[in-house]
Amino acid sequence: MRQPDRNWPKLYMRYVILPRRLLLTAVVLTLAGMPALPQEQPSVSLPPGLILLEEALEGPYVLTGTLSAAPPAQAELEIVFNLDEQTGDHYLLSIKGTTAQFYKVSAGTLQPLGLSGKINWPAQGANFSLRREQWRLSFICDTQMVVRAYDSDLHGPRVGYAARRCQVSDCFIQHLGEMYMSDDFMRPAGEESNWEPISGTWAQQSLRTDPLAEKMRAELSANAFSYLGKSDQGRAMAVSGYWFWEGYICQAAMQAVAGGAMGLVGYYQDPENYLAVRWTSRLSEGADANKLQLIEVHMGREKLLAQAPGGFLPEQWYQVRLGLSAGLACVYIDDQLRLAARTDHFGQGRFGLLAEGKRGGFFDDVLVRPWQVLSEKFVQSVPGKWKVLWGEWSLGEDGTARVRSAAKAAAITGNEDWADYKYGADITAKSGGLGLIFGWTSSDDYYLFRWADPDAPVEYRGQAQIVGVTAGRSKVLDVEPLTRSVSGKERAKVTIQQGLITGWLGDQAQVQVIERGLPGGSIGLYAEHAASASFDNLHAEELLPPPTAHLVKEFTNIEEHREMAEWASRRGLWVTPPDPDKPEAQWQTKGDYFGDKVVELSIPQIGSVTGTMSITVDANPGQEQSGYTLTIAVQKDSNILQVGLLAGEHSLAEATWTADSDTCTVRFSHQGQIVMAVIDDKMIFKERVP
Amino acid sequence: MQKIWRLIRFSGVIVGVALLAVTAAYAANLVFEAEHYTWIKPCMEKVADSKAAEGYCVQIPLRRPHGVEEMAPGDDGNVTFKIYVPEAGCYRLWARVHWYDGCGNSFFVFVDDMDTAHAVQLTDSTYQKWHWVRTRGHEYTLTKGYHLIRFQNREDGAKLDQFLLTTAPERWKPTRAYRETSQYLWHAED
Repeated sequence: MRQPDRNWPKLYMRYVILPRRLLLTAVVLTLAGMPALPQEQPSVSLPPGLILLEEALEGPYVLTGTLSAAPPAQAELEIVFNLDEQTGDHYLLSIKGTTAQFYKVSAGTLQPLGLSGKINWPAQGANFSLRREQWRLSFICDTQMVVRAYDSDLHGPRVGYAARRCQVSDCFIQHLGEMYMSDDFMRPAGEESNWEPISGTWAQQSLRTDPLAEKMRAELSANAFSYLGKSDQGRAMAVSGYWFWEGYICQAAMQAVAGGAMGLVGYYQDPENYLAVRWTSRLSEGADANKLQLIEVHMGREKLLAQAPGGFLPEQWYQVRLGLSAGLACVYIDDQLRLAARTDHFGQGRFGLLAEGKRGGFFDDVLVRPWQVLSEKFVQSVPGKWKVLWGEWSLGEDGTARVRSAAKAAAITGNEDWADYKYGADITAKSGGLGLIFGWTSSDDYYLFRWADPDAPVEYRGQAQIVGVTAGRSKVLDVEPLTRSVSGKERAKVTIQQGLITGWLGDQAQVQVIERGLPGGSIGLYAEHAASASFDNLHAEELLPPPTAHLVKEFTNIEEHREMAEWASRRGLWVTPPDPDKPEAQWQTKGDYFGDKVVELSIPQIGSVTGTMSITVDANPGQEQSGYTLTIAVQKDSNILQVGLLAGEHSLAEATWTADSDTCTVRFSHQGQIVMAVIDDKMIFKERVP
Repeated sequence: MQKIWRLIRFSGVIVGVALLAVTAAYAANLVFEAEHYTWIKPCMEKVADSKAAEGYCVQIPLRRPHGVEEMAPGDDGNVTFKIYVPEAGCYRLWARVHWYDGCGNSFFVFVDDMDTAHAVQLTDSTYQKWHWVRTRGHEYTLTKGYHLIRFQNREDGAKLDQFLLTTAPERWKPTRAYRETSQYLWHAED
């Protein structure tokens, strides 16, 4: 029998010192050669075999490349993006078999974002795009929108992927920036342009062959440059822009020569994959005559998404606009919304012009700019899309968001970077305080348009208010008595445009305030002592800058080219008065402006001369004493402005303004029932008019 | 025991390398600020612009009256850059420009060949906005080494903020101002 070892030093070495040495060695190895581990081991680890791209992420972007899998049932792809290697936080797109899902990994926990989607794996290599914008995440594969999610918390700089039983190649990062493109076609024929003709024939036109061009009636004509598209068979298309464009509105002026069709193209991928606005003539005799259509062409197959009656008249100019955002397509004719539809295809793409017919149509004044829409019908709960700030909320069976708590309740969504937008929702409530949140950047910094019926147990009962919360401190920016009853169902809206915030109930402006530097941020719903209030049909839309006329009267020497005078010079948009050299001559615009109007201008060199200027809106053609007029009188060697507001010939208000410098900015507006004059962001007049 | 230590150390190194593996999935971009030119000739001038990258750009100043008469440029004012291309390849040239209007929306561009007959026109129809324009249909095969790039007066009112040469995939487009790769720009005092 073996005797136990009683050599204590030896035992001590074997069972105490040696293990410690092993431990010490392991620690040394870790510190010297192995990658550092975070202090706490995360419970969610990065996918094995992760390949990180070298380029760092910065702002919004698209990760794109080529993807294929055959057979797809076993394929797995994991894309890690916005990875912060210090914390391990990241977003994850996980595709297993045919199911795709976004996740957020934060502080070691994994949470799903958005709803899962189905992917049709391309057997041959097809493009994929993973888009990360302000708060929108989306994955597109082979012209199909696969899955969407919403979150804006993580901004780590790394991206990578791990592919198993599928192939990923040609990956690169396309950073996103401002989308903008314009074309007035003022160039000689043959000069290079941004347009890529896809089908039909397209040609620069420097003269139009129409009756007005021959009559030389400049006051009824704009410049003569345009783009002519026509096709003997099928559709003529010309495209521009970039493959990664999404969230944009494209518009063009167009005039058909005869019948046929004309329109716009959006989300263009290739000749067999795009969206089209197709508008036909009122005078045609075909089965599709007199119609406005929104068509999806996918894999060469056409599908009618939406249609409305009403065609164009040949030889008449129209402005057609197509807005595309998050799969929502909206079609406007002369600023009137005519069609809206959704699509789950494409998710991004170029834009273009469309014409059908042998004689085709002219296109002019093309413009593309960013346009984002946030639309919510509360059909189903989407993880991560809404955040509850206060109170309890639920989704009603009738597709509404319902307040369940008696005290304050608020929920927010979105995180757009837009400056000018409108945002509205249908609100149904018996009583209490209700509101729309906007410009939310934190619980201590946001704006609120709120109102309450006269019996509501809130301090603002019987009033409408715009409230600004800054660093946790609340300030009422504007308050007015309510002009209508608010029980029952009401459409409430906030518009923010060039710093002017207006709160609306129905079509009546309730409150208005100027607030420059308003942040983008989130929007939301608010209720106070309004249990059982419900919200529906939320729609937020970026507002386009209002069309601007030329800013100054500047005349050039037109002796040699009188026929160009009316449009080639700055005077092109103004009707020459009978006696233009008379000091008080009023220059009126050629066009009529409907709806809300804002006129902005600068007065330079205050104190250098004596004189009076006036700005009139809503004037009748040829009648100088009509509309609303803002007059500003200045004196030489004085920085004091005498300001007046008139309705026709009648004075509404007068004021004196002292300029801080030799230049000031004047803003004169008629929006809703409010006429307002602002100088250097200070409100001078605010009058409620019929 | 010694073999065990060696094995552990070796494994640690292997793991470290695997976790740090990256792929260079992006081609080289050479980015240059216009106001950091090598040479400038009037009427081209450097001016401040708050919306240009680093607050400066170069321009052909607006002539009054502007756009009334179509005529050849008044002079051959230009900015020229002597740059070092670190890797031979086929490059596309993009420029971040600001056009005044349809009569102030172009530059002549020269790459190495300064013969005016071979000048390429840089133009498009987006006005009053900083944006990127490419010399369409032109790719430049550049050897490793020094090259000359010139932007020259074609119309008044044209501004240049940055330009870049890239071998990125055709689908890649510049969308914002980029950090300059100043190490590839030659100056006389270098």
